[in-house]
Amino acid sequence: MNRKRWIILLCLIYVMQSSWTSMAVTDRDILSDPVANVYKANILGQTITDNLSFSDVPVGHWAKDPITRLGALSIVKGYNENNAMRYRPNGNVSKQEALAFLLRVVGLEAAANQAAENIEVGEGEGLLSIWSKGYLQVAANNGLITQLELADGLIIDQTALDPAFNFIRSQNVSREQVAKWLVQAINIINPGSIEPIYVNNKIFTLSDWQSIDIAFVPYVEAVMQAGIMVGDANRFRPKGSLTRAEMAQVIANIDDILYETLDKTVKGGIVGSISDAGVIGSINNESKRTILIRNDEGLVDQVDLIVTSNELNKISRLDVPVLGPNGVRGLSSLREGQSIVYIVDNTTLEMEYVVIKGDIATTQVKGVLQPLADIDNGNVTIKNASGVPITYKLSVGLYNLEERQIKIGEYYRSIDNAPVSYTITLTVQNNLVTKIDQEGATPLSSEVSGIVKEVNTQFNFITIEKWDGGEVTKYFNRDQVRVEKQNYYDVEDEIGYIDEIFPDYRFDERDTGIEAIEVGDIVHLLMSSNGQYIEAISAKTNYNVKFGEIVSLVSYGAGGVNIRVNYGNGSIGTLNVDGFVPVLRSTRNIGVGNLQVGQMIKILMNQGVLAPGTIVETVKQIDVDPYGNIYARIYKGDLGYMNMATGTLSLLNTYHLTKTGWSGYNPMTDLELSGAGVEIFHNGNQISLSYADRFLRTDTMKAYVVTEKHYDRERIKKIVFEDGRDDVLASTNVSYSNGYDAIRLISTIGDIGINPGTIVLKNNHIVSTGSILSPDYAQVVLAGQGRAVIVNVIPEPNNEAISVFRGRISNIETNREVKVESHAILKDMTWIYSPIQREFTLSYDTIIKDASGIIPLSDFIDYSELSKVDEVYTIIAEGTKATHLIKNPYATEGVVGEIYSINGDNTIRIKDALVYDSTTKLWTELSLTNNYATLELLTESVIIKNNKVIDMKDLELGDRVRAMVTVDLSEQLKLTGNRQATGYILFVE
Amino acid sequence: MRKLIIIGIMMTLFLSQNVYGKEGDMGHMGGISEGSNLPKTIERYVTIPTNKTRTYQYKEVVFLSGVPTEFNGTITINNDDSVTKTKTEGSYKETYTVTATSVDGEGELQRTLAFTTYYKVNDNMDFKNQIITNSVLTNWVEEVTVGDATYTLDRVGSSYSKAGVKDLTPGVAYFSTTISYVAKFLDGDGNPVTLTSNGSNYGYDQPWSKIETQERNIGISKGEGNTGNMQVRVQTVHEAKKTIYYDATEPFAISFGGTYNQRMESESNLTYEVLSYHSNLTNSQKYGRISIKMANQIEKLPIPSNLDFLQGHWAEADFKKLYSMEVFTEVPHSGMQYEAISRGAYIKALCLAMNIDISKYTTRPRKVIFGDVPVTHPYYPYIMAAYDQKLIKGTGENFDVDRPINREEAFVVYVRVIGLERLGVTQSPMTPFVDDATIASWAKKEIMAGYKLGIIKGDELGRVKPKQWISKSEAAAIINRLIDYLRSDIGEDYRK
Repeated sequence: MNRKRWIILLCLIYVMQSSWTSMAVTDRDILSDPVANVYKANILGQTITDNLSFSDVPVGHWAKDPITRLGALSIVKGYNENNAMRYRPNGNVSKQEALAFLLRVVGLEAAANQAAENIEVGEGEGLLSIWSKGYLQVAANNGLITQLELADGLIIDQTALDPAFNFIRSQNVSREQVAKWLVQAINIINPGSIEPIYVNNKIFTLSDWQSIDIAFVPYVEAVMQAGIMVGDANRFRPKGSLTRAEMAQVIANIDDILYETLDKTVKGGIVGSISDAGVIGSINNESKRTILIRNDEGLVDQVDLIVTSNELNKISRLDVPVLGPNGVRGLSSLREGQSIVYIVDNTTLEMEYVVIKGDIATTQVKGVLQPLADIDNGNVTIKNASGVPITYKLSVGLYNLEERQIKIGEYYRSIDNAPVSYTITLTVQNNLVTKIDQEGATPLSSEVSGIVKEVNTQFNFITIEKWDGGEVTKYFNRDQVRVEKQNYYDVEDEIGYIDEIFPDYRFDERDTGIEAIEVGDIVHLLMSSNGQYIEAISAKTNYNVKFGEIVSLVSYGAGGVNIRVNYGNGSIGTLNVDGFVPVLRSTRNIGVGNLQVGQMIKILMNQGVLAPGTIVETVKQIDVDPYGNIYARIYKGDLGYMNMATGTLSLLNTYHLTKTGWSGYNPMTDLELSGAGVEIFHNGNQISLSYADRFLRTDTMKAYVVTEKHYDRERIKKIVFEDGRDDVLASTNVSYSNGYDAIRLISTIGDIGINPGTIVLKNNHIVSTGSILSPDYAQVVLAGQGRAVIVNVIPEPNNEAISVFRGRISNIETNREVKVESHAILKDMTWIYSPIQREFTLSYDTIIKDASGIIPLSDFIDYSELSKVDEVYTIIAEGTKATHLIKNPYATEGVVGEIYSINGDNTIRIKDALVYDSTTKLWTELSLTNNYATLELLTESVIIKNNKVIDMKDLELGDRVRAMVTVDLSEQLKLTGNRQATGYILFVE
Repeated sequence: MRKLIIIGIMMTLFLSQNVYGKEGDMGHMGGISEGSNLPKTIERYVTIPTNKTRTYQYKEVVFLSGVPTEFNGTITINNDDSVTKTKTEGSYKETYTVTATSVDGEGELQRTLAFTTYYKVNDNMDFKNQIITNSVLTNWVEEVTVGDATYTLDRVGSSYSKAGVKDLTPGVAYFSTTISYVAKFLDGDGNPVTLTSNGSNYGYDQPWSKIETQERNIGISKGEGNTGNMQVRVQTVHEAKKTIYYDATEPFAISFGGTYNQRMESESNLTYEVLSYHSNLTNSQKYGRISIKMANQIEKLPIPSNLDFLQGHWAEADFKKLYSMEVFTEVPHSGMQYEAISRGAYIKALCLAMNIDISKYTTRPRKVIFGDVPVTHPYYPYIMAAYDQKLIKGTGENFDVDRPINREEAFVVYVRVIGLERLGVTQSPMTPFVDDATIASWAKKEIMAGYKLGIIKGDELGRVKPKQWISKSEAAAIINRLIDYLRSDIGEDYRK
């Protein structure tokens, strides 16, 4: 960008700004109503001041407007004297001048010019010095002067002529003569519109009527009756001369004829809006001020002031002469709210002249509304107190024919429901109704309603956007304003300051303070009787709901979290969630700390529009979908048939991923493809299903498909195509991740590539690569070239939060507490005895079991035949709370191994079994060949995984288990050949 | 006499409502059935006979025994409410009969539930009609065998209350029904078991998808201290929708390049959660999710032909889909993609997209509301049907049927079709678009609602450009986007 251009543009804007003090928009609808006419400014700026600022016609001169107006329309012209334009208002008008003025008015200037040329061609150069010859010819043609008078007028040397008999063109014209010529001139273009009047009324009011030449009497009568010429102080001075100022006024008095002949229209209106814009072009810089005018018909007219600077920094402006209190200026002198009259040319659509009438006068009229018979033309009729019907024009913002609505007070209502026959008050500006108020419709207490845009508790004001869009600011007294707010979670039907009407002193959850009012709230402000202060506020949260998936999350501890949410369609938003915001998961508040990447959430937010383009969003509540985006399985297979009718995709020769790698061979698996937003990747690039269908059925191409849970089924969420053999790495910690193209693992050397196609699982959710963080514990599947196709982040095995005790029960406080007189705690494989008494708390969810099944808490007592005193239990405890009390044998032997088979008869098989020797405290292999063992699980067996007691069916192939058993398996194998033992306490690690 | 005439007009207005939010396919007792599908497109032209009594596959989870037990069977429904389309008040009968056995084959469920439903239509509102219903229980017989106990309904101590409201907006019928009942059972030993259920059904119905969601809180009490006392939350969702996909034709030498097929998908899902603690229940018994998914129905749409000039154009797919769905009907001609769409043509396309019934104005055209839309005008039936649907307003005025529609007008109608303009809250709210000042005050509420719903978005500069005309390409994209929204996105809050 050329710096100089900027400066120029700024200067241009400054040129405009300097003459524009900002005012509030008085006509709010003007911006949104359609623009009816766009007028061009066409006069070069300098011309206005050069040609129209007549130094001898000061502001306040009685004929300032007619002279300037006729000057702008080129009817009258001034004289250039010593570089100053003068009109010579007091100069007398000669006959030739009078004819020229009048013929111009009736549009014969061109004809006069033509006639002048003809005369020059015919009569030779001698007549060149007579500027008026063309006008005289045309005047003669039209009968204003006779052929003899014309002949006189075309005589070069006029000194030889006798003023008594001859026509001397430079002689002052008499007023009676002007009257006659006026009537004649008007009749040229508008025959019959004004006629000489032979019955005299008007002239008899004159003291000097007798001095009017008899031939002129009907004409003087006509112009006086029409109000075109008036006498002064009872005299017409028929023989007197006319000044140029008076002549201008006379012409101004017949301007309707002037405008008709010139096809111009005079309009009235109010300046509704002024706005500036600048355009920097390659050659020219342009600065534009757009002025919108509400005209008398209620429509919007537009005119643009354009200031252009060219490459030589020459500034030119397209402007319109504006006559205002400071004289003739340009459009930049207009202000919003001014009442103006302007002349436009209907052919060229140019605005030619503007007069500022001053600021708008506002009046109010009261009357009874009559049926809206002429609403289609924007007219309403009221009958005033004396029963006189008066019709007014409505501003277009007040009615809408398409919607059949009319605005009464602040609200639109159907035209059918208009308050016909009610008393209404019309606010009239410039003959245009700008507001209609109905008596009684104005509430007794003054309430203002709308949506909060700003609350300032420092300076105690509140700004609201009213129901119909207007903006108001109201003040309150912090200590006295009463506030009631219905929060989004309150479903009570008593809303607002109804306490006002029915005093009620019971708990009211809506009573609150001004601090509770937020931007975006819907409020109703009850104003004090003098309208100065807010007495009470009734408010309601105006919330919006959005759905999305958390794609990333930054925690600020107690301060809350910042989440990035994918709203679907790829649109992503960032939200701050305060620490106190409720996060609900199946109706329970789990707190902001439990928000996780990959969760599908519903967000309730308060949304306020501060200004167009600026929105403030406050999160009020988050609902986590407990079933949304939960991963089901990862499959690997060859692409089979894609059934578009059922919306299923078949995979051939499939395996699914387990901890130990791919297992569960299936010749064909049908997967549902019905979910929204299934993504398909190949080499890190997203592709379409049709592309895959055509190009990715090769011998070596494998499809990796991750599915999500959908009720009791699963459906496809993402498909990744990879070529060649894969490699399932053992689960380990991530030591580094940049989140988009590389991670490193503790157990491997070098970077592992990741890309948008990589399937990433975390917290059981299907997430993006950005969610892989060090030191996540993950199972990674590599697909050629060190690229990860799957990164499965899983909880690191850990059972540290749980302790396992054995103890003899000494005392039970039913439902509350159990005491053991001594106890042993299991550390690794050893029970460490302690003689100390110990207490564990019981609660309703403590599970108590023996070989026959669950013992109800109510049966776990220390009296009667059910007494459990002196019995030995295994106690699984979190801190002092017993989660499980299991009556099972004292298991001191141990075996570890990896599950390779889970069977229906409550047994599992483990391989690579190591047996613990409780005497040597060493692990030895069960057998050197074919090393496996079978573990039977009974009702009183307990399985602990990741600090939780789990069911047998939650065990997975590949889980490494440590089982406490009662027999030494090595011995048993040696003696009996039996590899089976009962596992009483199993740890998955 | 005057009053009679008014009623006559009200009734004829009401006759042409095309969506009326039929509910009850799942039987009001917390179970799920396969449910009815959406009408096929061909039913616009040919009536496919349907049985008033429908029998569907049915699943329910029964909690009476204290162990959630899944039952499978059938439900037979007779709830023909078509009378609400012709009379503004009256009644109709509903019966629901369930026969099911538990998954393990040991339990049995027999239930008959019958109501007489009284209704009143309220049609003097802007842009919508409403129907309120109140059902009176006329018969209830129920017997459940689960485990080793048989529970028999004690009709005397039981009560059932069902009351609903339907909001018929121009294109979408929304409904909400509150259902509350207390069922007293006696087990085989004569011990009382009380089941209370409270919740509501809500959903919507429109030509592209429908959803009925039921939420129930069920409490079972068997007397103090009984471990069978239980509280459960059950949510069921039945969703039917049409999705579109392209079916390319394989032979090169065939007269058309490919067609669009519509998949009519229907599935019902049930989620329950036992809120009270029961040590005898495993996690998978405490939380359960079951579903019924029937094989999809397929319908073939007409071939979009003579649109070769659009090949590669950004709106090609939109045009082709709309021609296939018979939403666009103008004879295709090259260059139409650049032409502005008229107000009449836009309204016609929306009428076709929402399957608004125009038959009244094609068979016996009479009424003329808009001066420039006489009976002979090609858009007459559509403009009049849209007027009856309260999609557009006006009397004795011109509709400006041939004037190009501008964006704000198009958006306003768009939001009114789905009847969600209330989300705009105030009459003329400030919208977040940077050219807010140029939006007409009467259009702001709808545009704000569209913004909140995420269906009206600004351009990259955040403008909505309200006064700009819409080309036929843009209209195609806008209407196709509306249909996509109606196929799936609108249901987001109903599925959870």
